[in-house]
Amino acid sequence: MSGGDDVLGKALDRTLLRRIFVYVWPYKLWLALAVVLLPIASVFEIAQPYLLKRAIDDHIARGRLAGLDRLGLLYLLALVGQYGASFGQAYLTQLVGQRAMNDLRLRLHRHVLALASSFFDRTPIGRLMTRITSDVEALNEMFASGLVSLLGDVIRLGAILVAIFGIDWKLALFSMGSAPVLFAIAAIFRRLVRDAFREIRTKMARLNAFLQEHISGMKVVQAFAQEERVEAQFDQINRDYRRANARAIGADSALYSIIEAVASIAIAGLLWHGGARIAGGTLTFGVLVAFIEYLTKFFGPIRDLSAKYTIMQQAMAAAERVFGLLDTAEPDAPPRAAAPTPVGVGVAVGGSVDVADPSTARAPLLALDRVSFGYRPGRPVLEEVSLPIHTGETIAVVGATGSGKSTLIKLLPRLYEPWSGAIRLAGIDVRDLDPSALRRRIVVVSQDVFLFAGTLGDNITLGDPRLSREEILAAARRVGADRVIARRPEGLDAPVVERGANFSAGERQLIAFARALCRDPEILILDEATASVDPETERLIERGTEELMRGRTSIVIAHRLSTIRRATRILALHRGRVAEEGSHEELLARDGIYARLYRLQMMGGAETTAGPAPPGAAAG
Amino acid sequence: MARTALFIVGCALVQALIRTWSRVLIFNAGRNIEYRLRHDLFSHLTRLDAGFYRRHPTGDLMSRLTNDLSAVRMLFGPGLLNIVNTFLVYASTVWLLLHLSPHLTLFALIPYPVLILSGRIFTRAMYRASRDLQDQIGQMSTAVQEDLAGIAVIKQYALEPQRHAAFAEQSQRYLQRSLKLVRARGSLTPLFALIGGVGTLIVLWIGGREVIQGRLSVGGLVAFNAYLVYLSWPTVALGWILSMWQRGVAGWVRVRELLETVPEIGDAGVAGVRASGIAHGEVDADANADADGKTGRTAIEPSIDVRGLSIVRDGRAILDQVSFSLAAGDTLAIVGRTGSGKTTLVDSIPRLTEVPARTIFVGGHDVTTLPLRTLRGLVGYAPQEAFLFSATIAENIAFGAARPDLDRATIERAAQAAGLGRDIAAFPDGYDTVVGERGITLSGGQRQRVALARALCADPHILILDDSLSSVDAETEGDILARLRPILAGRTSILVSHRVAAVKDASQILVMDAGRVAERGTHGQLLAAGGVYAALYHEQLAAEKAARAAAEVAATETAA
Repeated sequence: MSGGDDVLGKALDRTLLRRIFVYVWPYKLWLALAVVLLPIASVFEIAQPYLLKRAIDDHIARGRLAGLDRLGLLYLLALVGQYGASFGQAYLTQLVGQRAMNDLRLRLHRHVLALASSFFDRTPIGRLMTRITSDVEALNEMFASGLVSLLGDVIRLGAILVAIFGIDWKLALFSMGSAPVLFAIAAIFRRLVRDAFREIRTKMARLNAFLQEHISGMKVVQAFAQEERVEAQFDQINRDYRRANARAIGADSALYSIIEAVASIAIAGLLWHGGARIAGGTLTFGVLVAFIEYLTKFFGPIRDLSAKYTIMQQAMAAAERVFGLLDTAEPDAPPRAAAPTPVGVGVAVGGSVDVADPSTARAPLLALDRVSFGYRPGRPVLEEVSLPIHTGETIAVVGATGSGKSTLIKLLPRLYEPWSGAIRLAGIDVRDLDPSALRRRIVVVSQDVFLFAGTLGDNITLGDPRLSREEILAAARRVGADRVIARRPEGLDAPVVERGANFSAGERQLIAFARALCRDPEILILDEATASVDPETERLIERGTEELMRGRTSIVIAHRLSTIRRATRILALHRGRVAEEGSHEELLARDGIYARLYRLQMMGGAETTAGPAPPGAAAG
Repeated sequence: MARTALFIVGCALVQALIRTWSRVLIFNAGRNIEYRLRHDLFSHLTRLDAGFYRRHPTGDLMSRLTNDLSAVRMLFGPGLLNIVNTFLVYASTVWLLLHLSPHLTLFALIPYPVLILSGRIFTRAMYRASRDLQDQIGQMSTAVQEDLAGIAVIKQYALEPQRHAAFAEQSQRYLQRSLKLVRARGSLTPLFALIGGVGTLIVLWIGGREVIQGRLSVGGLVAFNAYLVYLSWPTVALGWILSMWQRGVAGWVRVRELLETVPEIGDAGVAGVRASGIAHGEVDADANADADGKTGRTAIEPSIDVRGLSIVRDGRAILDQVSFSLAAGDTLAIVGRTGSGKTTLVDSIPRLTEVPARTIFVGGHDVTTLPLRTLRGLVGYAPQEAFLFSATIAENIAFGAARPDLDRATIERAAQAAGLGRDIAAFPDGYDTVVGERGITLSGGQRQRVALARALCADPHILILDDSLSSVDAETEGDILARLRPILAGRTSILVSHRVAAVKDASQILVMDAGRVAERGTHGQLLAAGGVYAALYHEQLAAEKAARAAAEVAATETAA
């Protein structure tokens, strides 16, 4: 719940309305029909009291039965007409609103998926979820009970005025005496009610967040016997929420009652004044009946005005946030020439891909050329890193925490853009390659394995329909994930719950191996997990790593001795620069950064008891 | 005349006052009920055990605490108001109508049975439509949540088109279900109003004839019609009340279900704790006094005795006859593969999981007879899956302390001991950096170290580290363990780990396998026994030896 989520905007903002209208435009015919139905419904509604008046004055009061049947039928027709038209109008409005919002939601989803990794680094998931779900829903409320029904109310109020002034303008003037009072009251309360509802929203968000968090973390609360403290905190939040509601209840009840009172007084005045005129013979019964009905119809919309105003404000505030997100121009892997424009997913870019430059024939498979990069301006994480990698090589990257190893591997499939320098795949700058094609050739297996809710099989294939069951099982067997499958009675169809919580860290790692193997990339990038797992899983992972890298150009952030031993070359990073490069033996012989890191990492805390500490260990 | 006018205005004002007052009273009563129920529900939730939370996902509990409660509140607030209102309006109007013309009243009420019947049908349809829509909202949100949480995988495997298509499908289904609800809800009011309008038509038709025949005055007909108009709103409201009633009752059933769940873990003597095996005599006067005071905890010696502890869950033995004895100040280490029962074993000591009576003794007291606050006040616990609250780092660490107003120096000491010092210095606001959903995201290793600092802050007599440094690399783990050494002195501690380096100094090591203690002894004894532990040790030692050999070679080469 960021602070910005509770701000209410203007009820009508022309720029925002214009942007919303872009989404409504494809459904303009339906919307036009809905708008046309508005006055039709009003005319049918306004006709009813008039028909009643005619029936009383022209027939009933005069004892003329002839023609009463016809009026009755007309009245029925007016009823059916009114409700038919208003149902049609409401349905069409909602249809337009829902479809437009569906389009907006899809556009938003596509836009968000195409945003750069750096955007996701600094934006909480909860906020993005609110944009795509609740905010679009708030905007939809504008269609459900905001804009068009507001227009309908205005038309209805206008039609009532026309009708009553047409029937008897003097009586109309008299009845409308209460209208300014009503509008004034509604205006005063509008602000009160709005403020109260805004506070309720804030307090409710806090209450829900607190509950959600403390239910998830109940074990921690209980383990530290903090129930009382947490209950006291919750009581305060619960009380605040009740107090915010009490405020809204007070304002809302007063508004409702005052409008009812004004309505009663107005109708009493009408009866009193009208009664006197009927007695004087200057007014008929029918007119009085019609006026009472018109006046009753007049009060409803005024009472709802403040609620509708709040809905419009909330919708405008939501629209502002939604369009703000749509305006975020931070595309993931944009084409080089037109960097600031967002790229649609899967757009193929750059003709240079097909043009084989003869000079690149002997270029290394993958090359970093003086690459510098950082997440925040002025704070480089990598500086002037150069590294050619030839087909079939295995490069082990080592370095202390914060040396830039994880950043280095994120740059290769172009999840981030280097500040300067270039990354080339077979001599072609990766910025000239279609990003999805690039990521098909370079696959990163990270430490934190994300599993989608669904089945185990789906998590391995990631929806690739070309993979047969046998192929999936074969891939799983190669990396040792078949054990994971065999452990579940449903096999490949075993359910995976949200975030893969029903699989252990080691199992998730093996599933990620099978997933990468199914993709069969040209270049594999592996971030070995530092987490300790039980010895059996550890052996499976070690074997899986070996299988995965077999016959493949690979780059590994290595933590295991076996992995480092298998590397053709080792790259030691230190503070974002390549400090040392060479084979295991060469680097150990140099006794520099690698040798020190190696001793520290491979031996864990062993040096504290295992006799004299090896040279350099203390320096860590 | 002027006096009559004043009287009418006066009446209207008094009516407004009374109406405001009654609405405020009734609506606030509903809110008070909601507040009270939510308060009780949350207090109850803090007493429910881990088994309960295994059976009830957070989403389900949240929906009971929000949607269901709100349905109950609606039933007592606006629902009650409308039920009373509708009844009063109906009764008084029908009485007036009968008074004016009993004959006409019968005709005027003809549409109402149809109305009530169709109301029931439509309410049910509306209920189903809104339930389906709620369901779909949940599914769509889950889909978005997954897309955002898994964005790295989506980008790597270029799954954008596929995920977008899946989302479009969810969104389309949401659209259809919304429109279904719009149709159901949108036709209810016109239908009711239409049927009500037919009443007016009948009055006009039949009443008109009666006036002409001289059986009713024109004024009477006008009044009759005016009263009938009064009935239209409560009639429309009737459908709404029916659906509110349905939802309120359903919500109340679900709320009550939660309130009536009996905690399986509780203080001795509290209803719901298994009566068997509770020996009240076992709690001495000191321990009893601890229930309210925190100072008394020193009275219990932090020694732990586990005697034949077996825990069966879903027909599977999680722990099978586990026994060990740990003297105050000693360290117990537990190793074993995933699923061997290590976490259940350490959870059972502060009774975070249900244990049979007379199986676990702390300071000689059966833990099922000790007040939970006393028992848990003794223990500092750092779990593997570290949970952080959306609060500052300092608040998260201080959460473990008995006193809420822990001074910054103590927090910083705990953070330093947990090896967090350098990490925190790099955060934008240091100790005041907000973490979690509202703030920055910490790595798994950082979360674990915050949880460790939290356990240290509790200044516990018994410290339990359940594989709580698994996401920290070996180097940092060794560093932290070295810093913990002086802190552990004088405390009883239990250490779960996969790394031999972390456990080998323990005064006793247990190797767990399938819920049983497979091996036990000191590091030396277990190595001599040559079992699972020895194998693990040799495996991990291989790396160390290779490293040292290489380093020596390197050293000699450099020397030469």
